[in-house]
Amino acid sequence: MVIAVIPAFHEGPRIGQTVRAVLPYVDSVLVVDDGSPDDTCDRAKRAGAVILCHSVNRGQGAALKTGTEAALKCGADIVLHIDADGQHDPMSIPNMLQPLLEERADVVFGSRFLGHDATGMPFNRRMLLSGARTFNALAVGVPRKVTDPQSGFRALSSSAAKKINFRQDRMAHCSEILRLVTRSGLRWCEVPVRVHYSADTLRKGQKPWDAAKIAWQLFLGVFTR
Amino acid sequence: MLIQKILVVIMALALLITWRRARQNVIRLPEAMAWSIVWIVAAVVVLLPNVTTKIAEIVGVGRGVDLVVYSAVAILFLLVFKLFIQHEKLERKLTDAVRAQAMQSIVESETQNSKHGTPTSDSEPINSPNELINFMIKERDKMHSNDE
Repeated sequence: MVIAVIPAFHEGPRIGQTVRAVLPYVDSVLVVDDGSPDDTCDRAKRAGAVILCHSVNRGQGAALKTGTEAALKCGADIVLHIDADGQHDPMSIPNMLQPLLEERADVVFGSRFLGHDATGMPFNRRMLLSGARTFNALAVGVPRKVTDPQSGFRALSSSAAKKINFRQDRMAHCSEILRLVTRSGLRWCEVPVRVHYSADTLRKGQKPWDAAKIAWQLFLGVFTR
Repeated sequence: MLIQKILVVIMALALLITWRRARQNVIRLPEAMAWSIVWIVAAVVVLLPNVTTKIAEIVGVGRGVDLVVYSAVAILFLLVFKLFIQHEKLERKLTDAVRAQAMQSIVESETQNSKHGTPTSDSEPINSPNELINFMIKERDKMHSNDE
């Protein structure tokens, strides 16, 4: 059984569409509403998702972990992580699942830099991601062959999802998961995925300043065990 | 000098309060000792400012006041960093609590569902993934039919 986990905060206008778009490719969609003040929860429910609610906003990483644990509890064989804002094209999901179903990999990362050109990715975002890749390689210890340092689109087998215990609550979980997976002996691979940027997703997405925050969170994480 | 007298009185009071708190078991003995050392050293520095100059000369930083300022900055830096780490740990505990609460809701809706007559093969709601799957799929279908 494939369960998609979608962490959502303040995604009322987009969540319904995302859930409906993802549902045909998976067995169930689990939306973790991260304490949104708007109608994210209702809209996701109406679109056909199962809902988990954080009573207090705890960050994307925290919501993702809650969703992953719940999915495992529900007996998922594959847990798929996907963003709520609709920037990840659900058409890429079968490609993501393929290596897992063929048992060629335990974890599959979607990469924006492996063929499919991301539509509307601004130049400064591209530069920032390239910098993040170098940072990940030098400071976090993620192999340089990982092409997308900050992809929230990934699929994990249940055994991998159980093994990867990520603790970063906010945005640093991407780098943390990459580090944990690439150092764990799990088989991983990257597949090309299509990503659509729109004015909406860019407005809510990460800002250049967030890179510094992520670095700081990772630094603090080293001392928080 | 007046400032010396005022500071020494304040430190004597601090020492007194420290030991009163220790007697009331509010702080532990090692903590009380550590604080006592801080207050006594501070009082000595106030009464004999030249002591710091002597130490500063040994360490090689010039004036005694400089030594005090440098070490204060270093100590404050360490304390603030410790505070950051503590804060992060607290945040993670809060996340754990919020997560546990969120998970509870899925378990509750599951048990509620079985109360309404869903065939159950297992009495333990949390340990029966199959039931949960059924519930999730049913819930989804229900939502779909509501939409139509």
